[in-house]
Amino acid sequence: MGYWVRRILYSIPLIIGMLFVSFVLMRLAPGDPSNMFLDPRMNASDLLQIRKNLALDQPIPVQFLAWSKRAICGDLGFSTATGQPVIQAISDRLPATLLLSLTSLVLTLVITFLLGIISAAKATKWPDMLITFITFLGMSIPTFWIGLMLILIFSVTLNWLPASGFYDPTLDSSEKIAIIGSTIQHLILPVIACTIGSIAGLTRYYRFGMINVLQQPYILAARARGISPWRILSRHAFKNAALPIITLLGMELPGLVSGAYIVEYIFAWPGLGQLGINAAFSRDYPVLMGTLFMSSVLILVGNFLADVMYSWADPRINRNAS
Amino acid sequence: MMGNWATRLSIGFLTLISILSISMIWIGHPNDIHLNGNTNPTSPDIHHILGTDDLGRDIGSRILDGARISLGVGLIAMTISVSIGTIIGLFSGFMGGLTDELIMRVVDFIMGLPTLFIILIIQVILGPSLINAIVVIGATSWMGIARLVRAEILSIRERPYILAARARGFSPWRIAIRHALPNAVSSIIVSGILTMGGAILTESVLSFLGLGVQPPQASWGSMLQHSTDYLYTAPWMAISPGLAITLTVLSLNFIGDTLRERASGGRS
Repeated sequence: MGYWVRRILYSIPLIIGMLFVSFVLMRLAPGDPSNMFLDPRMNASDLLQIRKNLALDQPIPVQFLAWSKRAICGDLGFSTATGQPVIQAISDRLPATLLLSLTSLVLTLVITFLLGIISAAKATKWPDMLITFITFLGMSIPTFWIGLMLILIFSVTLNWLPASGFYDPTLDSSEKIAIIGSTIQHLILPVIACTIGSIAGLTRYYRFGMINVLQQPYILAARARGISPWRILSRHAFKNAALPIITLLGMELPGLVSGAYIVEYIFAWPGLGQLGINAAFSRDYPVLMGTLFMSSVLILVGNFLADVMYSWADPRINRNAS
Repeated sequence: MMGNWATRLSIGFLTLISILSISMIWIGHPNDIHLNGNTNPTSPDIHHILGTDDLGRDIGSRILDGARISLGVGLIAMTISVSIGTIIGLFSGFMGGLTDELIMRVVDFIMGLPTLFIILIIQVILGPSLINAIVVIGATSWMGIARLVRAEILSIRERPYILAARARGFSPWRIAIRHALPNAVSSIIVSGILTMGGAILTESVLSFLGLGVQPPQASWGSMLQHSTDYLYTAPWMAISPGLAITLTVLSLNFIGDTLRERASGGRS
């Protein structure tokens, strides 16, 4: 119990920090924040009223407090490009981002575990060398270039899969099953691009963890009892080596999110990343800040979930902390 | 892990590409620019091994030109981030206590932010330019090195020779720089090399989005940005710059990994 209270309390300064970073960046941006409410029909007194409502006539710390209060209540201003409330634009894009991220996350974990186990079981033999080489390659290839090459191979040359979008826009909205099928087709290439970008680091760590676990006395004991090597790997070593991966996943989350955003942009996947990058192009600061704040919160939530998973997988955490 | 041959190949590749790209300043390629009115990209042939782009420029020459920018950005950004990281790590490790705790929490916090996105925003605010890109990349990638240096300092600050230096009344900064830092140098170099690879990747993303190097300067990222318009008609424009980035970063990762193994005495 004490652990969870402290864990939640610990995220409060983080959220304040994120609000602060967004606020500072917004103040650095050219123009006045009230610009995002500008309307040609307004006169000077309307503008003054807006500045007053936004607390822009107050000292900077008061402005920060007012801004934080609005941001926490979900009021992130309005897009200067479309006039849409930022929170609306973000919540429209969130499902696509979650679909892409969670699918790649599951695929990443499955491949990481498979490669890690093979690599550790065949340590220093050729499968291990090959997998290590692949992980080095995965760390070195720019994610956006993987996306370009996937489009070049599977869309341009082979014409197997669509290169961009969420689903075929010519489909009627009543054809639910066709839309789901089309979405899955559109999902394949972005998921591959995200996955290649993220398995590299995790696989290397999992291999290390696996090799460490395989040197433990209880594995030797299992071996002495005549248990088959595959069963030792899959039943005795797998879970213990997987524990650190949960923590690591939480740490790698910012990198994964950044990678996923570039992938969204390449494949015109209508998620937060595409929204944010396009906002950067159109100098749409409210949307930019909103997307930054929202992604930071997503990472925070992801880290929190990683901790929940960890304490579920390793109950010692709760006991030690309290 | 990947053995000596991979590291030797990597060093060879980086040396070759550095020498060629620097010599491009004086030599240039005879077919570098021939604006012959033919604005169709031509596929690779015996004259242009990697093909030409939509302005008839030789892609091989452009890649060597871009190498100066990409490697240069990586090198300078790495220097910046190593400097910041070392200073903050030294400070945090030597202060200890509450100051150390506070600095490390801030480092944790920054590491939890989507850094690439922040770099993007800063580039938009400052206006995209090469210098801004270098500074921003350097200023947002020092956290790992700071942690590393701090850990090294913590592990050696109670060693007898540091205590002896203290007893002789040396100032904390002198002890930090003259006595403690040399012990951390090998791990700083390793993570510096890995940081350089990361910086090259980040620069390529920025330039790919048009927020890094501005034309007519070429970097591998901006060449790739340009290539997206010709993905269907001239795919060779998209292949070789990406290969150049991958091989360069791969080489840096191989070298970094080998050095790390050497430094840790063969433990992988």
